[in-house]
Amino acid sequence: MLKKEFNLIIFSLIFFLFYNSCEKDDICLADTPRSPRLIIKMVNKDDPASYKSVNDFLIKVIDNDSINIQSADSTALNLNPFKNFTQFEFILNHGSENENIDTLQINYDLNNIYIDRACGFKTSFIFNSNALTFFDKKNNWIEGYLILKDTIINEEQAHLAILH
Amino acid sequence: MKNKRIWLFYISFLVIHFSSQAHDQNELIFNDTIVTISDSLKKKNYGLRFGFDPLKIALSQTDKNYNGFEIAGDLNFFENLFLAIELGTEDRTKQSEKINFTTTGSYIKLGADYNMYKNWKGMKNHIYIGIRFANSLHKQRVNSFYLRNSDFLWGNELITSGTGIGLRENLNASWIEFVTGIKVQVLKNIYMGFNVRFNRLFNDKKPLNFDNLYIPGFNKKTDENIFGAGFNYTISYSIPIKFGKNKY
Repeated sequence: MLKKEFNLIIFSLIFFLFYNSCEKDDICLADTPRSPRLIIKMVNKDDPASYKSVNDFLIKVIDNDSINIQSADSTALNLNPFKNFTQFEFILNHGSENENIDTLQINYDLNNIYIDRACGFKTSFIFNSNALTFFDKKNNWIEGYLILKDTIINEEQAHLAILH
Repeated sequence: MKNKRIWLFYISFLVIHFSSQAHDQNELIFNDTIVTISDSLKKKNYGLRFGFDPLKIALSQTDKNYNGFEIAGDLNFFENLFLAIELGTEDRTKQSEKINFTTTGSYIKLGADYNMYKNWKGMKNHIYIGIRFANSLHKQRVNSFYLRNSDFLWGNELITSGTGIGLRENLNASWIEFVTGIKVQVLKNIYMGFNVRFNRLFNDKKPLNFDNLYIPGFNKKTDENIFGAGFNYTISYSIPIKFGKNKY
């Protein structure tokens, strides 16, 4: 009978060791959605429904020199998930004599959303009432903007349209 | 002739030996009846037992992220059946892959144990199986976490304020436990025990924008399923309550 008790204890201890080790649960699967990027599209100021390419278009992220995004009529931008604004330089005719730099700031509130144990949280962005502020109002090539979705929760469609 | 006598001498010894053995057996049988009589009387000794979990106390002393206490009681209300109760509190801070959170709460477990072990006279050991219906009242606090971002453009700062961080109160959970364990009498009326538990969650009130990653009494809850497991150590003291006549 003592042997039986002994076996029970051994079984329990082995079980406990396995129980405490790594579980499927602890691994964040690669296809779990991440914090979304801001999808912008460049549209015709006279006809906001149609895309309009920008000549030699380059976007620079201020505070982050290493990131330059080349684009034509639409792109995805990583907003800063640790602050409630991100500043960009939108450059028209990059590298040529008539280069035109518009410096702007995107303002938003952060809303962190729980995913699961392994992946933790992701963030979503909610545009403020003045979503875009321009630092210099003179000689801007950007004529305005349209909010297409006021909450950036996924990357399924464009959130912001830039008129030019 | 001489040989014959010698043999008889030996055989007589054997006969005496066997008859004395037979006499012993009679005595044993007689004793057995006494034992069964006293056992049947003993069944009226309703044993009430109180105990605690020494491991939880030890962990509370050594692990700064854990504070817990559990008391357990059982009442031998019928032959091998015991009414069992466990009451406990837990305060535990856990670091999962990306989230640091604290669970605080208390729980009650109510059920019965069945002792399968046939004790010899004077022994009071248990190998038992049991069932518990359990309920917890708890709260969850998210202390910090890392975001799952698209890339490391903005680094990966530990977030300690803002949405997602904070306390979620008034949570509860209910589950059922299947218990198996042993209790061994180590000193007069003092028992040491060990048991393992397999838990199945029935329902839990989920915290807003978070989950019950840990439930006091239930243990770790996984995302994938509703099963859990745990184990307990117990040290308990038995108070015999005697009903009826007590002749022996």
